Amino acid sequence: MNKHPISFTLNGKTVKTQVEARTTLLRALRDLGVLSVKRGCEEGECGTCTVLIDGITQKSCLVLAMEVEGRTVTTCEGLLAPDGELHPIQQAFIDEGAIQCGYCTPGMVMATYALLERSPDPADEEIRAALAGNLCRCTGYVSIFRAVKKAAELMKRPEGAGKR
Amino acid sequence: MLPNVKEFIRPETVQEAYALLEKNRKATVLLAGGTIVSQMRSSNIETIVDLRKTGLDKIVQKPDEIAAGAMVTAEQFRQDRLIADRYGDFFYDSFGLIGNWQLRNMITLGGSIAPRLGWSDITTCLMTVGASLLVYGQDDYQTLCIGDYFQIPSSERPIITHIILPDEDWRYAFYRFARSAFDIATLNMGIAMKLNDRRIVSSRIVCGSRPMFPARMESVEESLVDLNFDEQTPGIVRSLVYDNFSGGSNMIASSEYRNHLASVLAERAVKKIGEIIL
Amino acid sequence: MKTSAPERERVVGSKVTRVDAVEKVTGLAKYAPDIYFDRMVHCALVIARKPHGILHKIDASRAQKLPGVFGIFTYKDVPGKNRLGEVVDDMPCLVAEGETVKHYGDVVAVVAASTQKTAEEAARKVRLTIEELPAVLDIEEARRDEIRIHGSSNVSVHKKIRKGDVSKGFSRADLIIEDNFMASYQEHAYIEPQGVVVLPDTDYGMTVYGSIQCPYYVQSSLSKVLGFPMSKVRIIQAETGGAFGGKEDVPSFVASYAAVAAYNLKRPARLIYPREIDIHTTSKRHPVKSRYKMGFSKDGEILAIEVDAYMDMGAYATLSPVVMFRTLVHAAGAYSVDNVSVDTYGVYTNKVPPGAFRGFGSPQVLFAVESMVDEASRRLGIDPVDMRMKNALREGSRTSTDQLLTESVGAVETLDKVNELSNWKELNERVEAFNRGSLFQKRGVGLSHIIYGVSLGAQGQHIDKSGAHVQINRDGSVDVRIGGTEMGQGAKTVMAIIAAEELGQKLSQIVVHQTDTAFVPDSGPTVASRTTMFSGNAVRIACKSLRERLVKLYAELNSCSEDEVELHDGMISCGQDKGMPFDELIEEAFKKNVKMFEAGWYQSPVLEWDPESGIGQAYITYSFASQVVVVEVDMITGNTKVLEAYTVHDVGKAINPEGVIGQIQGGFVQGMGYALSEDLKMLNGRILTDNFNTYIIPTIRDIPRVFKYGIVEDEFSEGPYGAKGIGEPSLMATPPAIANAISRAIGRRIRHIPATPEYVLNVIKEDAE
Repeated sequence: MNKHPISFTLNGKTVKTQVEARTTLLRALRDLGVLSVKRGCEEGECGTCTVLIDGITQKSCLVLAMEVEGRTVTTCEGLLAPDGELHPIQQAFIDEGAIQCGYCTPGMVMATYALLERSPDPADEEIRAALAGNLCRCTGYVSIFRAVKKAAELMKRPEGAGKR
Repeated sequence: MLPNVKEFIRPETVQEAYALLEKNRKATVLLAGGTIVSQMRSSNIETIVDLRKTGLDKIVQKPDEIAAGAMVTAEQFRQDRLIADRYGDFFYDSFGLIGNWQLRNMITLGGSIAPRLGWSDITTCLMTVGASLLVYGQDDYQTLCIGDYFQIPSSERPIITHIILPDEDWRYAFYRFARSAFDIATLNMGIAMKLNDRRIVSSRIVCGSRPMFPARMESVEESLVDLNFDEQTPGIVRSLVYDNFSGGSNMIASSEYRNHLASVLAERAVKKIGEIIL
Repeated sequence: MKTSAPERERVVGSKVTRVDAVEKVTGLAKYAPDIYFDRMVHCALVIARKPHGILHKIDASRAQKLPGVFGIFTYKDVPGKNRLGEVVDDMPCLVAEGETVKHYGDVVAVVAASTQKTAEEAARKVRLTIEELPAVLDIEEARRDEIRIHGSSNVSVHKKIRKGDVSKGFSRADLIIEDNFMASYQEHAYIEPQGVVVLPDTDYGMTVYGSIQCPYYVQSSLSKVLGFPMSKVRIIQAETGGAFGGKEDVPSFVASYAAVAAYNLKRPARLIYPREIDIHTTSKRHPVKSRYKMGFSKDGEILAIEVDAYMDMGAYATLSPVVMFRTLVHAAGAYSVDNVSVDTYGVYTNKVPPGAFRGFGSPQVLFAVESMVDEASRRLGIDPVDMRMKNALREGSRTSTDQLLTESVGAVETLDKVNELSNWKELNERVEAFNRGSLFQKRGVGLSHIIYGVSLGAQGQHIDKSGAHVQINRDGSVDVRIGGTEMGQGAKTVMAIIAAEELGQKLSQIVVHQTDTAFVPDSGPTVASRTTMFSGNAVRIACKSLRERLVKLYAELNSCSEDEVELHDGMISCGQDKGMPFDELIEEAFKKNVKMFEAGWYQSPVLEWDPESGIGQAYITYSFASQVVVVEVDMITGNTKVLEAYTVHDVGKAINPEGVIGQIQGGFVQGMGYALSEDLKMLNGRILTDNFNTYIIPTIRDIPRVFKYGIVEDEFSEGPYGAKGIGEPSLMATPPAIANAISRAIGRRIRHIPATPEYVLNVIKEDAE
């Protein structure tokens, strides 16, 4: 199978790699060692492979790697500060007990990130709408919902604002 | 998926894309967002033609119409100013019910219509507002209605380049029924009405996810012509739709249940139109 | 057990940060698909794709030719015994030529290749010649025994309870109700599919990393399939992305397939299931068809109950006989009833074998019995709470198996508390008022009251034990190793809390490791809501011995009385002295060669049980729950929305309240999916709903806007700090509460779950005609 060169920005760094035309972004990212992007259904349903492409939230299992040529991809790894400090969203998920098995968590965090980028002070229904593409089978979502509200609050504080 | 694909080409014009398609239709897939990726299974495919650079991602106002590029995403369309000015909240609300945010960012208008997905809420909504398709093919550009597009044999089918939204002052309502917020529609229903004062001049009754491709219920539309819109109208439409429904059963629902839903959603849609005008 | 630390400073019961949170929230936690080894091959399965037939030939010639294929392994390549099954080993590892395939997902061959894609493509190219046989596709057909799947009859397991005399009970009854119920399949839908990496090892013969609930099951299964002694099989649990029972026995199968490839290729082999293969081949909640007859006095006392329940075991028995034990014991519900007769039967069909799923055979019958009690309260005009209260179990009551309850019976308290939490009377009035003003939307309030037998019970007591290993390192950091597993429920955090509580070390200095069969002996399965109690007790016992040594050492060093030594939050002190940091004391202990590791061991108290009559001590203790749900039903479409939920659980003691709450909320939503939308559809034995686009689990948009919980702590003397179990009961109360709420809303009885819109509409219309 032919491989094609691609180049894109991954979490702030330029990445050059070779992929097959049919390879999804999900599989390409995992081959690059970006393991926070997970495979749950590979059909665009579960949301555990959620990433941002040019700042827009998408499911990487339904995007071909070739489609991100020249674009910017952000994953959960990209949210950490250079010193490894957690992003306020990640901290909020921890504080609110919004994590159980953890398999949906990176996708949930990315969906939250996209939401708060667009809408720093989201209404309740906006939160539900923004996270409806991310399945969680453990928590029942109650704590996740709270974590999003908490994250919005943390990010409004002066010390959290710089992290965005 | 796609075990035999060899090439990935990113043409910069529609003409170039069409030429690539013509080279070997059976072995070529036009890539237009997530719905296309999800359908990529065939071992015949050798070439992927990505339409992203063809400039079809804009929504522009023309003299008597709005032209939305086939690569415009559902979310982009939903949030667009021109669309809001023309249709109010109709598309914002209706498209807001589709799938979820990520998917709306990945689903394109053209990518929803072209694969002829029965469950597409997008197609039903676009048919409701009387959208037609600007296509490019062997006869250069031409405008077709959505139904006619699929009359063209797939071996000659042109590329959908734009969705053309006519300048008209109608009333619209869309309802979908699904087993959860997440699920594809068990059935969807879009209704448009042109009214002269209270008189129904014309209407579009579009039913999708039957589970077959959305279709207009023309016999119902004909029966409504010249009726006066009043409190009785929703009930009338309900029974007309009930009597004229054609659909099928699948794992989501039986044909009988869909028939019932079609009539109920039609009634609700007409009621909603009534709320605007009465 | 007496508590050992002063109440006011306890770690137990306080809000703590989940110990594995940072790895998970950053995406660094390693699940099976995140584990890579040099020279690793990727596997894919060839499945039968026919419900019943004779496998004449496996032709792998086309698949072999694909570049990158290293091997295609069949029954001929299984080095040991070609058998799987934890309780009944009636299932082949790989179906042999000449043998019958018994369901669509029967595994025939394992393909190993250089990439996942190549393996999957090769698997599709393997040709199977199967002579189809007529298939048995439902319980009724199976019972007729015209087509037999195994041996002499499809109805191969029968368990019963005979308590008192039901005919006498019925003869005294003022009201007798009879009804039939059907609870359909439920798919676990853990977000991480099944997966393992198996590698040949020099010390160990074979080491497995995997998404695993029960490592000791995998160890014993692999030892048989490979023909290795158990000492040559090591299982290390990878981070596990949800399980809910679905990773109880199934990973033994997954690891066996991969091990056949690893053994033959002498290379690490990885097998990660695509979602479709996962849904087609792995266990589900059993469909159960039940017939209930109950007799009541006019003031609401339950006088007699008679139950027949048939469970669809699918093509292989796997865990079904033990699942059925729980069905049997829970069939009569959470009440004190003198006359009980229960018969449960396991039936073979040519479908996917169901197995363990949160609640383990009890949610199906609790849905039925709570529907019956609700119907009785409606017909007798008794308030549903009063109806339950009248029959509820209390200290001194006897259960349906005639077990005398002597302590930790929080049943009544859960009813009281849910009454208060939901503002029951006012809530009902509010709903009635809404219904008076609404024609097409009707609301209903549903109540459920359930019982849950903690741990494995009388028929599983021979494996009801757990070990732990605790070691304090020279720097004061603590390694805790347990035989139970963390699969998201929070086991690691609970164990860390217990260790911190007992040792007085800071929580942050305690590391609870991934479960590894090399460190801790067979501790039974991580199921039956038993981990807090069994692994927890084992950790506590180990820590107590270490604590005693530390206390003694500190008292010696400071010439004070051992009785006055306190260990808390990383400090050891005595009376009013200024104390010593934990790590400094450990340094002293090291210098003095004090033994700083301990093994802990806890086993089930012996339970007396007579399998002939079904009379005896079924479980060591019971958890209880009561739940109130408000639904709104669209009378025109049959669609149900859950608006409000109030749920109260008696957990004995909430060692980690945040974890308990997480279980309560998560279990509710999973139970809600089971009750409403999770509709597994089959056609000729093939599952049609094989991914999340067709099998619909709840999203954040579907959950009730009002969700309130309460926790009752009626301590259990055998449990650590009084704790019982919460994992399963969190789900079990929900299906009946929702079904009862819908029934009340529409004025007609729901007898089938999931209560899909189409089903509910049919119920609305049926009686109207």
